[in-house]
Amino acid sequence: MKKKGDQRSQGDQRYFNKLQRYLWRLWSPASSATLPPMLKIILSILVLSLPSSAFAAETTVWDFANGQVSGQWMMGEGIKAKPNAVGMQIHATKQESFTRVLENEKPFDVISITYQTSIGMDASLIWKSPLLPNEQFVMAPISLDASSNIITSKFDLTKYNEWTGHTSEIGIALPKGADFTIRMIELERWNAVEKVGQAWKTFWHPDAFRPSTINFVWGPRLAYNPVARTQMYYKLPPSGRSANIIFYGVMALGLVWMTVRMKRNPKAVTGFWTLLAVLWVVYDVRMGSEMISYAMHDYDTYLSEEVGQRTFRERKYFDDFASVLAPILADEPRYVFLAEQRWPYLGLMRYYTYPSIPTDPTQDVPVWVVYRRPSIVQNADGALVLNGEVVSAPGEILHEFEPGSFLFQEL
Amino acid sequence: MVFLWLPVAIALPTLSGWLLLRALEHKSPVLFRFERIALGFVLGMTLTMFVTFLLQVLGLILFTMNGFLIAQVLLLLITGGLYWKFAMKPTTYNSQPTTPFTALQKSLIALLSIWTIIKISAGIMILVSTPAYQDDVFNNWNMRGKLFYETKEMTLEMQIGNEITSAVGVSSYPPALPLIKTWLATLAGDWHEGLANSIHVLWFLSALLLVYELLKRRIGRLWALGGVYILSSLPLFQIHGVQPYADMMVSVHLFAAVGMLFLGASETDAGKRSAYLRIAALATGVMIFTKNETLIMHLPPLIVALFAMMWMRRDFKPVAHYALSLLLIGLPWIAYKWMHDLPFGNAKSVSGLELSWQKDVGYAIWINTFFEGNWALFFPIFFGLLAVYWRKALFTPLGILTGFFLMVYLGQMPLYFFTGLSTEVINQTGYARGLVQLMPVAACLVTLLIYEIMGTNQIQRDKKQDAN
Repeated sequence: MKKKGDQRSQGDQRYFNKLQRYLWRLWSPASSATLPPMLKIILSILVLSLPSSAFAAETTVWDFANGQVSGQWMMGEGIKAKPNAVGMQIHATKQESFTRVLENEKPFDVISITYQTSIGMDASLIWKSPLLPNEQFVMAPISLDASSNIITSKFDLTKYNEWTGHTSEIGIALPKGADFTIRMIELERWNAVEKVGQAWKTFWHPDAFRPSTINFVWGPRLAYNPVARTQMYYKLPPSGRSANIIFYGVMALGLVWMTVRMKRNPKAVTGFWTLLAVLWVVYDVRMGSEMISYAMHDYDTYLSEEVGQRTFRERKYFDDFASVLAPILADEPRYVFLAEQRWPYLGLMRYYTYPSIPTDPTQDVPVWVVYRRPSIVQNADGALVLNGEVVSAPGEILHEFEPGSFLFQEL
Repeated sequence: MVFLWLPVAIALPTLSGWLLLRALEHKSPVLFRFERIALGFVLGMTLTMFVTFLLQVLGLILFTMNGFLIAQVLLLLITGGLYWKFAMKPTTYNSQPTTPFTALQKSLIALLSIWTIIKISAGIMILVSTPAYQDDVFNNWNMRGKLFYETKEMTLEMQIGNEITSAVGVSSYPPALPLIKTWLATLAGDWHEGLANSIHVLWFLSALLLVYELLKRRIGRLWALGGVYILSSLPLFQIHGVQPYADMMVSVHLFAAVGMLFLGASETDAGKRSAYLRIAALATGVMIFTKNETLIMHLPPLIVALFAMMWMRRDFKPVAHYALSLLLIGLPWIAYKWMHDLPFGNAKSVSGLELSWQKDVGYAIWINTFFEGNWALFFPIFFGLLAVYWRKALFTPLGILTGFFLMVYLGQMPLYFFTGLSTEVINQTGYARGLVQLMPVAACLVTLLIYEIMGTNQIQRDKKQDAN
């Protein structure tokens, strides 16, 4: 096992430099800082006492390049592994896993897999969890993407309740037929200072405007590593914890302080409410900036773009698609409508084209509107074919936005 | 500039509302100038659409330019007549001494105002310039607006191909909001998404203004601004302020009904109290024509609060006003629903629900209320204040606000915990939106309680200083 301790990234270096500058300003005679000397000393000791590794993301690397086999791996019966110059080529003849035993490994939060595969696959990370009876394996589904190049996918383990930071055995479960070359596996960890920094950044990380935003908003959350932060909203519910708990903690402390002090000093009540007001404003700044980020995103991706080039949130170019077709469909009482999914597009299409009504292919209607269904194509006779079955009379595509999104008229 | 149709669209309904309010105030103009305009807009707009609906289903008009104008002129003539008959020269005035702000207060107010304006502006940009996005927009509110615009009549069925969205669905909602959108499209001559949505922000601004005026009456400008800031910075409330859903519309109507009842309960002058209660009665009736849940969830607690107030005051005169209001507005709408077999629940029937314990509801409520971003830090403070100062919250006129909130909030819990409506909580589709409707009431209550506590604390400090 090769361990790259003390590895300092550019971001960490900037952070370190910032702290150095801070220390310099703190003690500079020209400094305008008016902190009491005792506080200056405490702050300085705190900064200086941090080990240099306090500013580094430490990584354990298992490198498979040039035929190396890093550590001892246990391969399932259906797994065939062959080292080559790129890495370790792994083929699964049946659904099976390969794992490695860990000894004296420091706690880690993220696992990075560098690999190449021509076929994307749904695999699983597996690990033995000390939280489960007999340290059973936990399976966490992951996707390995197809690519002609070597790529790296990072997986945050801290979002799983069964993850404690430690495991005695970890590996990957593959589906039958999986074939990929693994170049490197990295176990990444961050120290307390970095985690606080990441939590601060995560706190300010806004969610996007979603269909569910009308019903609830997730609010500020805390995650403690950059992978968790960037992937926080990839799948819902988001990873990380609600930051409200920090606010409630401060409020509770304030309440205890007020209760203790208020008999001798009634001003403590005002102090408590002032604290609440400050917390409220901080929360408002966080959530208000999320509202502004919604508007900025819509401006950047929709309002400031040309018609035909713009996209609207997760609905991509549907708005332009429907807006262009609505006047063309105005004379058709009904038309067949097929989209990549029924909701929200069926209702939206009805809204855009009303009183012209979208219907399904079982109806005898000569006009077809197809949105993002690349599997629907014309055959040699000009009829539409879906899953190998002819579903329309021969006709012509009157308006095509991209393959799979078009207006079709039967002849 | 298609948005110029918006002030045109609200002009006559607001004037009708204003005239009616002024008539209801009679000799005691209890409302502040801007409050009367805001309330005139809120109640006048819905009342106008009620009259339009009524004339259409009676076969007297269609939802055309002429039809809308006939309804508006008719309402204007009625409210003008009432104004001429009842709006007498005031014998009392609603004026208050104002304390000037300190420099620090001015700075804070300026900073928070600028920040709030920026946030609301961002929301308005989304509201008026982006396509239909949320489900109830393109399947209900805006869709039905477009439906009425195309069919020119009160249509209950919406087709999608070989399916028919039958009357048990969204058509059971009162048509006030869709009709307002139809009216805007009729004025503009075409359906314009931004224009149809623009009306929503006016309800949000009206809610803020009404909360400010109510609080200003009771505790002065500074605290009133504080209360408005609390309300405007509740994230989900703000989102609903700039989204084309009906919950903000319900919210402001509800606040008008409850707020005026509270002011009536607090008022010692008999003339002013009657004026507040007449306005509250009007708001209660109009509220029924906004969304289904007002009839089932909001009206009964309001009636209970009213009777509690009357019993305390030994004054049962307001019953007649409430009865008249409910008879004129509630009864025709209920009769229409009954005649067309439209359900009374929130687009679902409330009868025939099977009772069984619904697990996960408690956890979902806990998370939604305390560990998401919907309400900022509001509910720990709110429930904390109610727990500590329950006497003040329940056994003073504040009891109107507290009682109403708790009756609605706790009253819906059995539905969530024991019926299939639990999905509204577990999927988070209905619970928080129900709270959006109550937030102006809750924000006022919190502000008034904090003021009382701080005032009591100030008195204690003064006493201590005197003793020293």
